[in-house]
Amino acid sequence: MKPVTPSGDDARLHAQVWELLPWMVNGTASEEQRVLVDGHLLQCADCRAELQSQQRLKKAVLQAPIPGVDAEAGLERLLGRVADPAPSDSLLQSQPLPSAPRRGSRLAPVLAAAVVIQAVGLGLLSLHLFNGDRDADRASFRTLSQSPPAPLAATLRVLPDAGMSLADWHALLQAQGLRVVEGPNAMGAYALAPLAPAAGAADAGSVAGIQQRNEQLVRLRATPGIQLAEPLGPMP
Amino acid sequence: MSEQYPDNASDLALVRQVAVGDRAALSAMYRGYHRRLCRFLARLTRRPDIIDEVINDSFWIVWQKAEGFRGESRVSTWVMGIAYRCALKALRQHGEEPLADDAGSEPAGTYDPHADHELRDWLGKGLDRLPPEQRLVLELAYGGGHSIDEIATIMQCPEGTVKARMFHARMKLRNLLPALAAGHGAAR
Repeated sequence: MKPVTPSGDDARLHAQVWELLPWMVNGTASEEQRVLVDGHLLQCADCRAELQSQQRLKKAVLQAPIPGVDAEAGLERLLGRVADPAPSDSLLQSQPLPSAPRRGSRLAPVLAAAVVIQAVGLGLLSLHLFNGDRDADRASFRTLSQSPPAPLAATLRVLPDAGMSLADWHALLQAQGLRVVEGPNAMGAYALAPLAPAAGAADAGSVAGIQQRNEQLVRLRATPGIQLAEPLGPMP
Repeated sequence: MSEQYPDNASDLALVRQVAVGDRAALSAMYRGYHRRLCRFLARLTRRPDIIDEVINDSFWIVWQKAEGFRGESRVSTWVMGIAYRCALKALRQHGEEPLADDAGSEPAGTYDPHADHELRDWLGKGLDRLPPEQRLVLELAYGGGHSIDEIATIMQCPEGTVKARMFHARMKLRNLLPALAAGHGAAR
């Protein structure tokens, strides 16, 4: 409820002007709003009085006592921090630092070196990935349908027939106790690993592991719709 | 004593200089904003050590982020927004709450219209009685010359919230300081 009663003015216009007064006082009202307010003020003593109240309020806000904080001492500390940032300063950042090297900072050479190392690393990685189509001995790619990553390495490379349905492919993997750890590569081949290590096998490279793989290999080769099945890793 | 609202063109020139590592420009910005920030932060805390820490942290961020500032807002809006967030964070870290409305600070019924300091103290006590968010809106509007949308940006709230806070602040001050509305001690 507004504290003043419009006297002859449209109540809505009065309320609208009343709310605009602080923004008139601080100079941020739009031209259109100023025209509206000025027109109303000519006829409304209440709003003229309120405008004066707000002007006094602004004056008081601007004259509020300033706490005794030494600007120059604070600036000196800031410049010291700029010249020699503490490690904990990184915690203040909600976003990464700007990408350009920070001028004059002693971090600059370190950051530049990190960028070079990253670039070399990325180059090597792309080379590795490029060659990796024929090298299924990696287990970095998993489909969403896969269970959480297991430490088992790929033991088999399998190329299913292009016409094989997804349901048949999944059923086959399930039946053979296998999971996809990578693929398909450019040829459409998948790298597979056992869902669980063979009983007594410390890892896929152990005798029991190799035996398990060979059995899976034989069954896969006998399955219609499998164009190619070959072992990965150590040969028996 | 009067205070000019910040001139965005000069502020922007300083930010551009800060962005290329100009410490003199950083110092100029720091000095230019120190008083305004002190007054703004004093609406949130009475502890000078926290105010000092927040100003330092704010300008550390200005130094780091100047390069990414694209002038989406006025520089003062950007700086005050940084300071507001730093202040809330510092208060949390110190286990402090923003200054609550001070019911013990009862303003006298009238003041001497011919003494600036009396007007100041009288209204100051009234402001102390407001909830911190309302006090900050008044400070940003009258102390900083910010518009509704700028205050919304600084305080990270909708514009409607800013209008409502201003409305309630004014209503409460009318009740606390009827002489203000009655025009006692009219502005000279």
